[in-house]
Amino acid sequence: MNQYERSRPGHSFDDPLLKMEMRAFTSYMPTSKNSAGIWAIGTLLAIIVCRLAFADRYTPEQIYLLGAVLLWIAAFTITFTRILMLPQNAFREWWLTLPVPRETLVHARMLGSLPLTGCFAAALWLVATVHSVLTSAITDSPLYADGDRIIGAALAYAALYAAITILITFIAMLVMIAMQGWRQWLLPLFFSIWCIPTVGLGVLYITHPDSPWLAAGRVWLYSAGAFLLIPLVRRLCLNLIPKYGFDWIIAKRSLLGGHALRASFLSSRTKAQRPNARGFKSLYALERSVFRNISAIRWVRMVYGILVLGTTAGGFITLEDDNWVQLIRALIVIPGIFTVTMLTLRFNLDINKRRLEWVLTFPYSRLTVMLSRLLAAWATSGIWLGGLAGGMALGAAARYLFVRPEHFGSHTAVLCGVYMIAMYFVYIISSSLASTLTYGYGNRQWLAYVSIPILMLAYMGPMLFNQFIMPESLIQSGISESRWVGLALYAVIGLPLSWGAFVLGSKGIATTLYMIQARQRKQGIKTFE
Amino acid sequence: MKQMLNSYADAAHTLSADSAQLAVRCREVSMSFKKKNVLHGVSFEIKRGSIVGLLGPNGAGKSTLMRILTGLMEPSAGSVEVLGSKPSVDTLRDLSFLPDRGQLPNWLTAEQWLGYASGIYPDWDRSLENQWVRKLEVDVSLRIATLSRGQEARLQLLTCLSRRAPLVILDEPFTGVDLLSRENISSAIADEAAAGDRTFLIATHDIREMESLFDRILLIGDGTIKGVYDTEALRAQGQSVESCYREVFA
Repeated sequence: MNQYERSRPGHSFDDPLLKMEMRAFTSYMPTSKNSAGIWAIGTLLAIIVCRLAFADRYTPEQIYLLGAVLLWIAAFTITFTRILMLPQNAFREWWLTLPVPRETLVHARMLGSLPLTGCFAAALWLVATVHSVLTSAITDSPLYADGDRIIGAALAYAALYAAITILITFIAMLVMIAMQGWRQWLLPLFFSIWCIPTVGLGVLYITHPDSPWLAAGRVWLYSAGAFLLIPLVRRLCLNLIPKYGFDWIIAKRSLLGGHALRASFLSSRTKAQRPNARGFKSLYALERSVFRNISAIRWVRMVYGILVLGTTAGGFITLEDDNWVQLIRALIVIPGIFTVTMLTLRFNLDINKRRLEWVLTFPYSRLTVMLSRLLAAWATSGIWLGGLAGGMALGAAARYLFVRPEHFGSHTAVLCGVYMIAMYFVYIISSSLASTLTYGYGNRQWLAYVSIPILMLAYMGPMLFNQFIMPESLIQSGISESRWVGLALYAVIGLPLSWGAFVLGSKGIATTLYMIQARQRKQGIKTFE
Repeated sequence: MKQMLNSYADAAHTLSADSAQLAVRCREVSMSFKKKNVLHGVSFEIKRGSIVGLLGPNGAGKSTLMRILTGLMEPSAGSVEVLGSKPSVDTLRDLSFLPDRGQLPNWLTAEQWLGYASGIYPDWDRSLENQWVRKLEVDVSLRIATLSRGQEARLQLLTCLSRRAPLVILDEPFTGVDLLSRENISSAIADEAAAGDRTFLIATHDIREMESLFDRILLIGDGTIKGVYDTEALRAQGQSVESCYREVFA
């Protein structure tokens, strides 16, 4: 009987299995001077953005709730992403054959990501608290006049953040049981849990400043409820995952691959045509093949089909009274976030899958290689958005033909739609170009301090746009001349600057290899000889 | 014995002046990451048309050196010439590189990958590809995600060898490749090199299988060149590559 069987599935902090699980996240945590610096700068930047963006327009509780939403999404994403990577993890077979009960493996993994999520929770809490204290000190806003209210909210939301960190991490672990067989029907449920808090993003618009739902007293109750749920979800994880959550890992079934290594798949011979493009076209086609592969996955097609149906219905419903502009405003956020996310994911996968050296030794300049990647991502965004817009147009056409509304398509609304599309077009191009900067800081630490805030800004772009540049009131107020001038300035100044960042990032992309090599040497991992 | 080895090494190590005959020339190359020296004072030359083994224990700096030769990394000091030029995108057109434990796009079939590769590499030779597909027994209709480690290693190797690049740099080409395939590969490399117009630099731990193939060996340890040996000269003295390796690193 080994130590795990004697005391399963509890873990002390000097447990080697738990230490190993936590080690996977150490490099992302503020454990060294550099990473602590990045965390400090990130937190400071978030405080500044929070202060500039929200000022004293929202209550401390609303700001804390926004933090809770971000924490929920982050806790779920960190655990879920790690689960998705399991079949491809080179350590997979070692992990599966460690001489400990699976219950113990699961338990260690459940706890492994908690320190990182905890750091994230602490940073968010700090941002909201500093924002509240600062706003209270420098403004006369009645929302921030009550010191007891601020302290009460800070304490109550600290408890809520702690509860969310643990509960959502454990719930995300349960995804492991839904990766195979009929239980895959549970996946939409988990996706819903993942997405539920995004509804909360609208909280800034819809909640009343004195809403009792956000008050400290209620928040203590939510936290207590969540803490009561934690042992239950933990027990579910420990009972269900060892029984139903391992087969898909052993079979190397990948949710993103869309195909298990079933016997039928293994023996299948595809008759896919051999591509015959030459030069840059071939490079581009190779990059596009990634997205074509994702598009071919059954569940992706299903989700996309549902979205198209949704936009068709949306087009039908919103044709009246220029409401369709709001639909465009909502739709266009998708490629805004998707493009940068896909580019970042592709780059990280290339590193993790050791494809970067192949890509970088193609006989093309790094600028050309990265440009082919950007073009493929833009084309994919365009095609996917085109499908959604097509659905919307179809719905609108059906409404026009069969139940024609009395009023639609005013001149102001059309101009507003054009303005939004043009603004997002420039934003998508510039943010994806600028995000390349993050790839080039391998041996240039200073670039990390510049590029990481840029990347964060790229992700926050859609939220900031909808808050400040394209508020809902725009349809009524119309697009002023100064807004058009602003857009033109953004294009004229922003695009060349982004191109400069793209050139700098692309040229330095191989420095990532230095960074990996230096890090692995520091960690004592022998990967390169 | 060490003295005798050193005398071979000195003779082989002497830097030649005729750069037109050289595929690779390194002079006093050093490389450091975060104040740690990975390579220091590395100097050697590789003549065109030769097969050179880059041998050394784990962590000796072989992969770093190969990355410098391909232009993936720039040395902290010293100069490198590959086919008469500083490593860059231009030299990548004439250089075929197999990274150690690299992976190919696993969402493609082998056939699709070869299709893309033939478009990406300007010196791709379709007849060579067909020849290597047969020799290495790669089932091109299979998805890369479903290939075994050995099958994928063979596919990567055939990607490198289907090009007409005058310089081929292979970093651990035999990882995961079975015995018979290893023999196939080494004999095929020997055939390729027999024409004398291609140069091979191969880092490997499979010394025994490659022993008969090498014209010269570069022994690297702790980031420095421990010796450059002419294998014919070694054999003439009754030495094998393996015994020389043991002598230097034991």
